[in-house]
Amino acid sequence: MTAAVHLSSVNCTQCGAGLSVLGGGRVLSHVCGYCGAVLDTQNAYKVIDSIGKRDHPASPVNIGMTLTAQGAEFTVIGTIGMLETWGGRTWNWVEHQLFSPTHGYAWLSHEDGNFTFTRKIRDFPMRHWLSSRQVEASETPPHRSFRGETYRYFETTTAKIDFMEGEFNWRPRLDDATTTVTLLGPNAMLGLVDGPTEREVELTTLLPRNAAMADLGIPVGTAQPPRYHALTPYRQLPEEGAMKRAFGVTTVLALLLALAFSIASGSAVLQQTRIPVSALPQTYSFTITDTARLASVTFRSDVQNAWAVFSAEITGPGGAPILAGSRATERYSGVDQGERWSEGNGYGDFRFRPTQTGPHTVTVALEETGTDGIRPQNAQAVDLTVRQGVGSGFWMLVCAGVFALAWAAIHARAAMHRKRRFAGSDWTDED
Amino acid sequence: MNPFRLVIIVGCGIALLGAGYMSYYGVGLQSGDLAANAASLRAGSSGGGYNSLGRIK
Repeated sequence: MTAAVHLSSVNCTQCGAGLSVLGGGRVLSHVCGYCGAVLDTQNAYKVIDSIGKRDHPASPVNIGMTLTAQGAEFTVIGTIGMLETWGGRTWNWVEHQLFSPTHGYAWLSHEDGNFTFTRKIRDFPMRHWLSSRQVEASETPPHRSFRGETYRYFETTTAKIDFMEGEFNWRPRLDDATTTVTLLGPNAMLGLVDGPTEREVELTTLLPRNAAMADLGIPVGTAQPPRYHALTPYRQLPEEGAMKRAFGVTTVLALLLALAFSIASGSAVLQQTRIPVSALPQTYSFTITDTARLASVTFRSDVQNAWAVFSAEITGPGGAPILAGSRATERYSGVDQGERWSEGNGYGDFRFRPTQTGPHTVTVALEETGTDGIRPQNAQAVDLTVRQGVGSGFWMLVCAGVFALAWAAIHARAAMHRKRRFAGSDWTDED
Repeated sequence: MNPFRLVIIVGCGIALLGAGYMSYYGVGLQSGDLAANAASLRAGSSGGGYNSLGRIK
């Protein structure tokens, strides 16, 4: 434990116990930890009240401990036990008054294993005060702006004092109740405290737990493990901003390139239109000059409510067949329950990778045909196109999808953190 | 520049170049139902018919 230096002490004017004096000249009351006497420090430690002997609330923090917060060293001078009862449930937490000779008074709270540091602020515009009644009347969670940040409604608590010990720069009384409307900002909580005699605004920040415990001299293993706190900071991934930008830009580039690859469908080396189906099979010649990229064979027929399967056998420069393939072309349309529908486009293609450059032939034949539906029309003619240098947007789309998912995952992580922060809010849409 | 940031940018660049190479050359995108050195013209025929596109009316 870190002890404050230069302690002075007084004796309790009720029980005679020695009481450390740590709190500076603006302390108004001192509650004896032995007999519960409330002493007036401005009037010769005269007894003005008594809370009797009470159980000390559970807190690892004791009077006399010191810690550094916001660049100043503070000493724990008092302990207040708070109690809130609502809806049949009870919440307890402990607040410790702090004193710094250079920075004045502040509060250290211990709740659910977390330590928070609270200071009164004077620069909040009181015309923007938010009362619990205003909260009740709001359709949406109220929010306030302060120091360039937006604070959104989090909870309303009405708590009363059920324990006190040590020095305070005010005169607390048992069962004194305060109503606090708490707004949650990105890095702090704004507390609008409506007390018995005055309104105050407080700003609360979460202290790094292990550092605070080390500073206070509390072994980390002895304190209760912390529960999630609404002020728990978002832990960014390494270079998260750069990752988001890079993944977003890569996604857009990949989509544009996918579009470009899809539009650039190679160059036609054979194009025969309106080949009469009755004249099939037919053989045509074409020349392949690019074996690095894919080639494609495309059929387009004029079927209507019918299907036709066309085949193509391709021979290489030596005249030997190198591959064969076939594709169905089909197109259907009709009216179903008053709605027109259509399906298929009379189009079929396959892709292959040429192995040799030079003259090739393709023999086109009709393999099968059939009709289905009203006013059918069998294939009368077929268009045949052979292209080389054919690319595809497929891999670029895959790339775009992967990076879009990564981009979305980072955003989702931050969004989940924001949602989790407000999970403890008492706001409901029925309010 | 931060080395991690450099890794991210280089990684994105490599992914784009790799996908661009595969898209340009059509890696793995040959039709899989072709008959190589085939004498038969029937290979890969998918037939046809009213429900061949999966439509159920």
